[in-house]
Amino acid sequence: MIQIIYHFLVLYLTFHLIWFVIREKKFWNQLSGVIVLIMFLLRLLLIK
Amino acid sequence: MKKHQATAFLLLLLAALVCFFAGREFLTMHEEEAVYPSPHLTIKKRLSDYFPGLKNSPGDSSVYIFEGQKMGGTLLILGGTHPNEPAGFITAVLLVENLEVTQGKVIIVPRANNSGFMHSDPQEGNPQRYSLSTPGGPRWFRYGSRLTNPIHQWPDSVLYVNPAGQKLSGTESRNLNRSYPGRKHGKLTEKIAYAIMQVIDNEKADLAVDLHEAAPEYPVINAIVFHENSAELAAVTLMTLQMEGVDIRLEASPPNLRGLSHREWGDFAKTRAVLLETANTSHGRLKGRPSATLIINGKDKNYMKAAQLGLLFVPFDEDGISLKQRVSRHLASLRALVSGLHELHPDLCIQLDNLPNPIEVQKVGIGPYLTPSK
Amino acid sequence: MKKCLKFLLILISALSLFFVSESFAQSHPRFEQPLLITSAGQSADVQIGGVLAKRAGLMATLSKNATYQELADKKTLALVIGVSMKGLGAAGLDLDQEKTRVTDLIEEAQKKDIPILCLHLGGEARRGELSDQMIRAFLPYAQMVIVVKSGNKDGLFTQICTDKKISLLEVDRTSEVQEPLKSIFAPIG
Repeated sequence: MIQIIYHFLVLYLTFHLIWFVIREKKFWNQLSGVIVLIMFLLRLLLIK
Repeated sequence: MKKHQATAFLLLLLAALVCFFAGREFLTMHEEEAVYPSPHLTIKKRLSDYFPGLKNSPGDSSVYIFEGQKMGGTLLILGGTHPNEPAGFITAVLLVENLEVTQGKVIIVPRANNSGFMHSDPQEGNPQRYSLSTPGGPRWFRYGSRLTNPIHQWPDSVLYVNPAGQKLSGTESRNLNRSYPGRKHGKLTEKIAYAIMQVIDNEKADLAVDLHEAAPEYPVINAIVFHENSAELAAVTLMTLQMEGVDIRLEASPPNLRGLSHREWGDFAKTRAVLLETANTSHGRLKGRPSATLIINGKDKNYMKAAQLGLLFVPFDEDGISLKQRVSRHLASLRALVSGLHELHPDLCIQLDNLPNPIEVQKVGIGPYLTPSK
Repeated sequence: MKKCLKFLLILISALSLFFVSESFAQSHPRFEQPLLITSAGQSADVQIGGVLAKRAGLMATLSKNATYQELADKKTLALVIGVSMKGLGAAGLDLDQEKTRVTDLIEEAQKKDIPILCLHLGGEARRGELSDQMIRAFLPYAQMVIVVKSGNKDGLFTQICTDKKISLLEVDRTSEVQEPLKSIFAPIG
């Protein structure tokens, strides 16, 4: 159960990050977002 | 599509690529090294054959059984209880690949905590694997973690009350050597412990040996830790080893330290329980850069300094304490234990043929005793 | 001729072995059986003492935690010295309680005229501040001390034994204690 909650949390934040990267206009901010996103994606796939 | 959106998709693609390659590299940790059992192997089983609750789980692991023609004693050898203690694991592999048992029975579990082999300790910078050269080329082996993979058992509670009732810190719930006698419906590590107890029970092991390593600054090294039911056996073993020039010390298993193999195997399974420790530089906190070379040659400048300051419990010089020395020590101890068991209980004879000679292993290395990769 | 020489050689070695062990037995005190083997410091080395006595064919009782009452029917007290904090913890004792236990045993032994044999079998690894406290406290009461050489690197045993005129025997390895044990004990009956 706790793993499902964890997955939902990470998934929610991942979508937020993707949405942020798409909307953001400044390149450097987009890049920063993507770097954080990589960590979240790896966590989502339980590669950590 | 606006320019910033195009950049976003490009960057997202890049992130996906990074994830793919990083993930692929990460998942190589789940690969199991090849083990080529000796032609004298009687049967290969799995832990799940003894406890079906482990079937298809990352805790399931191979159990190699060598049975002699003549009746005798039964010996269980566990390697890889802690997958970051390679001498125990490699000793078990060497036995699986060389042994011939003509009397009695020997059961070997090289990867006792299989899940622990499938990850590395974060922030330790440990190598994922190390290679040993054999006449047919190098063979690689996994260097894992002391604890069960958190992907397989998560989250850790703040406090862990183990099956024997001892209160420990939460992370210890993933330590196989704190989880005995195990729980049938417990966490993965407890299930592994339960399965091992089933092996001891079903096979009626007369002697069970857990192979370990510890840091040179830890007081219990180059030691035989014994349950009180094996006190005489441990003393006889020590004397045999001293005659062979192997310096070793005795440590009694404290009855109030619960959940460990040398305590619960003896208390619950009533087998003679012994744990062997060697000194491993790559395991210690004082080491310099962790590397595969350090695992194999055990040389470290910091440890030399620590030895000069009298902080270590074993002699340590510029030659280090190599893996072949540590494996040789485990082999010599196992041989002495088996002969001690026979001396004290003549009906429990176990005849080990083709056991790699500890002195030769120290001289020529481990490689010549490993089967070249096929 | 060759056979004759061989026989002579064997005879000479057997005789010299006999004389060596005889002279050894004469130069060291004699103890009587049965003996009580106990620990002074609760290290696991006491188990080795038990095995050595068994291998030497002695009538011995091994009791790590022996009380002075256990000396009732004994003729020798063997103390295996070496402190292990783990061992003390396992026995539910602290160092002071252990010292009191051993002191009680020694007092009882002295009352009953039971000689004390001290063994230090753990070598260099079984030295250190706490073990040294035990050595200094109890060694002076011994009639004889057998020590594994590496444990006497700094000469502590030699110094105490010389001061107190105690017979000291150094051996290279633990297993070498067995033979002297055999020769210092008078056979039963």
